[in-house]
Amino acid sequence: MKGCALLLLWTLPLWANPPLVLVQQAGTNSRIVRLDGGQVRVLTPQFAGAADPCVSFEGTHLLFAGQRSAGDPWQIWEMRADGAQQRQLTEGPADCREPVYLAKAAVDAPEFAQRVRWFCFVRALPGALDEEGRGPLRSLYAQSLEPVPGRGIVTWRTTYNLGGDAAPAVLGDGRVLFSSWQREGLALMTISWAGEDLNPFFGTHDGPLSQGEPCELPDRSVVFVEHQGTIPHQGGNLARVELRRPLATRRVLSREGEEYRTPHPGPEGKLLVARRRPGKSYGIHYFEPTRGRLGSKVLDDPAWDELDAQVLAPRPEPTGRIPMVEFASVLDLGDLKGLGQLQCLNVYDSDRPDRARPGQVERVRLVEGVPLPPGAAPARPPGGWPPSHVRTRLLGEAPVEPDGSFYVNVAGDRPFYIETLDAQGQVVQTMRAWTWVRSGDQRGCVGCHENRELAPENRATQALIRAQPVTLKGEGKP
Amino acid sequence: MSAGRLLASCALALGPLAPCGAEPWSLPAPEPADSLYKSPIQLLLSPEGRRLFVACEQSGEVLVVDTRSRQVRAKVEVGGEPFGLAQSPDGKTLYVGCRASNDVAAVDLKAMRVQARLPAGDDPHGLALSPDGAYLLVANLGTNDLSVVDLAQDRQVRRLSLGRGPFGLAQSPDRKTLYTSSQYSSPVPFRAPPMIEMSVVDVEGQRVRERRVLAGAVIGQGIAASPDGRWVVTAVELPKNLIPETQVYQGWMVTFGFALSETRPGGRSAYLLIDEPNLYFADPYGVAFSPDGGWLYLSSSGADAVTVVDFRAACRLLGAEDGRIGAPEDTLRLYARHLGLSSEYAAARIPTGANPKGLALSADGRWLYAALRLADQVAVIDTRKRMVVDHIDLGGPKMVTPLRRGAQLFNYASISFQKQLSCATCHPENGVDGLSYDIAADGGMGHNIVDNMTMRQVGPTAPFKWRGKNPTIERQDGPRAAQLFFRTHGFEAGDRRTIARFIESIPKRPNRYLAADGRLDKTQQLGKKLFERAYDNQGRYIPAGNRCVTCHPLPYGTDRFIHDVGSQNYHDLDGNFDTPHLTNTYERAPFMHDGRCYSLEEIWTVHNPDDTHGVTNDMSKDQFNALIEYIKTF
Repeated sequence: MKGCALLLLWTLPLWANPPLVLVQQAGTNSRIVRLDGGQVRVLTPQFAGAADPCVSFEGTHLLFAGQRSAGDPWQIWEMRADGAQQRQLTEGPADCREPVYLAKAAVDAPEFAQRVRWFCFVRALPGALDEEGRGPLRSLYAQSLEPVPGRGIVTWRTTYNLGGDAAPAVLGDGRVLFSSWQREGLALMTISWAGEDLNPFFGTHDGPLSQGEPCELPDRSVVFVEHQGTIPHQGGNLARVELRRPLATRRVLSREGEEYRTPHPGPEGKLLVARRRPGKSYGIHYFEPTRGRLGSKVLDDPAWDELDAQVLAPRPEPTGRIPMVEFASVLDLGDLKGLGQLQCLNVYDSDRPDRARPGQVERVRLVEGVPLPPGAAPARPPGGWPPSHVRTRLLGEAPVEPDGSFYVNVAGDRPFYIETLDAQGQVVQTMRAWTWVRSGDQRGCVGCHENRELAPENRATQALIRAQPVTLKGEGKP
Repeated sequence: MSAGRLLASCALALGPLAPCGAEPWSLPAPEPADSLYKSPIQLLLSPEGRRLFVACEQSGEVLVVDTRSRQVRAKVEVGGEPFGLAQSPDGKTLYVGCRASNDVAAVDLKAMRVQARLPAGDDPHGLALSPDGAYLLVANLGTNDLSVVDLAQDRQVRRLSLGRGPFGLAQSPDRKTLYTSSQYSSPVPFRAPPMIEMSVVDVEGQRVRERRVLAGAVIGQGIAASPDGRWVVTAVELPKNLIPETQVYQGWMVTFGFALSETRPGGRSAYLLIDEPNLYFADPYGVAFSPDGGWLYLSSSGADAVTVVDFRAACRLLGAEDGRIGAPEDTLRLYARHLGLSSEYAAARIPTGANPKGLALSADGRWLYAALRLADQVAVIDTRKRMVVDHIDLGGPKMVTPLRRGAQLFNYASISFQKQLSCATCHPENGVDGLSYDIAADGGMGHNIVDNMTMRQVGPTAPFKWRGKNPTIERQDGPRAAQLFFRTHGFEAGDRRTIARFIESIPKRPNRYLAADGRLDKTQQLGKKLFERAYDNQGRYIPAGNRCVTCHPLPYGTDRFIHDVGSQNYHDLDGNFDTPHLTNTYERAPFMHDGRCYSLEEIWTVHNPDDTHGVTNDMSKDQFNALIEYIKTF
């Protein structure tokens, strides 16, 4: 946008060297330190491993992932910004990492009066591999930081992608932006804090590059790390897209030959980044995103990789939202318990060159993916769809109306993909990604892989006029 | 009469009322400051640019601002909720449309006083003058027509039928052709997309030359013709009312933009959005072209911003040149919903604050003035710097009363996810958009389609929702609105009370169908008798429960109970509905709980085959007409 005068989301402290919190990592050893006036103070001496700090909106506390003893599962902790008052928030055998504070939100239906603080984190599902068997399946969760009236601490799983999700960050509009395995690489997706409104953000079809570790800047842009690999949290280039049009404004900020990680907003419109040259350790630097130029060094101890530096200061609270899911839903659930509703306006609305021809599709088939446990033999050879380490279960089929619309009640909180079928029952198109509907939620799709910049057509579809959704529960064995 | 005084007089007139089976209710008492707010709505620059006329709807004044000193130099009390402005060619007279008094004040600009009041239709909005200044043209939103007023005789000589809810007027450069925007959809079949009419009027011939359809659009407000006369631009809303309200992102509830229409006869129209994929610019209102036609300015009154559109870039995108849009229809259909395209032509977004409405641009294109309705200011925008450089204080109270705060909350889209909509989006001018919606959570998607209802005098008509589920406005606009419409946390507790009180304070519009002394004419009296009748035309007894007056008693036309009158439609899960009020029925089509009919008569004929919704199947056409005339007096 040329010459625009935009409202800034926030301004960070203008002083040259604000206090920072960051991670120092050497091999399997990691710790969280506070950098204040050039002095480094370890905030987590009692942890064998501590990482993934997130500064609270008030600037007074930190969430982090900690390992009390080597080999312990990682858990989420909170402490004051001076390292005091540490308390454990999660427990169990599965690793919990990458916590981020979420906006305050109430879930106590029907008044929704008691807002509590939530946080999002990544948890490795016990007993489940990701779809390619590379390791544990990791999903996003949301948990209340304080007890919810009448329910205690509430924990919700919010993503069900069988490829695995990582690196959540919170946008100013309240959405969680995260890195998600989408077939051949990692792409950026958004979701509401409670797991509604899953939506691609950037990179789902942008070739072999993976995107991760995003952060939003005050100028309504998002900076992230772009790399060739397929594993989250790899170093790469810094790239930037503008929120006014993410799919069309990508720009690489950094130069070849340098690796960057963990960008975060810094003071005076700069970024705080971890950067290294080949063969060297990561150090913290400022980076000027508008000029694409590396700025001054903040800290670079060759004995450590310094990562994840963030300013210890207040920042604006993102927009909160009352969720529509589970017990907070206002749906008169009745027969819809454990289900969500999904409708598609037009399966023929697609940006794919091989899209179905109008009238070609008669039915849709929803196929659930069930992850394999560790040690199980692959369900099929790698490289195809469904992926090798996923068993499938037919949720069911539903008719597609002549105008391309369909409407189903579908088992909630279970990942599935969709196939469109012709009159002979042959597959016309297969969705090669996982989607889901949260239990108690309602979702609409514009089309089948439609252009994501298109708002829906205003049309009462035949499926909606008929208003007889088929219920797809998939009660058989996978 | 100013809105504030109207408010006060309503409070006196109504007092505590107790409709059948209901609690007493009275208008929230305004504070003294509420009657002092100006609420500037429309602007007009004098041809030489020295004077800026500001219509202040709440204070009932027109203020005259010296554009050099940027100070208010004069004020004229015109009363009646002033809106449209037009200046005579000789510069001596300013015409001011007055919505509450349904007339036009002619202001002597030398004496600075009203010298005459001219007749107009109901709820006059846009004004224009014939090229010779002999005739005044008035868009009457309430009567869906254009008054042609002979200024030599001070009388209305003609009424031309326009679209529904004519709002703004734009003239061709030679002033011989008039283009009108329409606020409401023309009648469409049930669950069909809306469409508004852009009427093209031959000013000298005093006839409607063409009725152009803007399909898919509603709330057409600001309208302007390009300096070369080849294009007309209308600020519009493109609703998604026919799809279930399951989400807000990706423009799922509503999008905003402008219609670009060719001015040649039978010309095409195209839509371009001013929204972005992650941010919306709700409630577009004022439209102004730069003198060279290169830039278009649109005020977004819900987003507190003015968008600067590179008009040439927009035309290139549409293949528009020499007055013709070249892009094929399927491309235009795509562009009409393309959120990413605005970065091609939205050159700047200028934050203004406080509900920007009417715009006026200096003849040299340097200074753009924007009426900041809820700040009692006019923003002065330097179009070269593309920023607000000054604010003209119109002298309203600096304090923000609870009702004023409520008005602000009602009009700010920041309450919703990505600022996609404000309360005013669906309730423009505190009324209604005339659309039906699929509020998906009510019985599931595709079920229980509901007609939107006006906010005017809704206060005493609890319960709310067509199912009567919400006992108070606070409940209606509390978590439910937050969860289902705004997809945020909605209004904070204090703000929830504030906006509820504001909504409760919204009066109904003056009803010109009812005589000032409240007496009914003969037709209305006949209609009243039919409304209250206990026997049909054949002398058969009508049980009390099936008489119109039982469920629709005075003063609001609702007993506030839930009834099943056999109006269940195929999409409804049951037939029990809260009795709707009848306030200002004449301006609230479509009708019935799902908005399936555009005329009252349909309710009693097509949709009452078994006389379960009152006994009507024995009535004659004359009786229906009388009944309608009576209902219009509510």
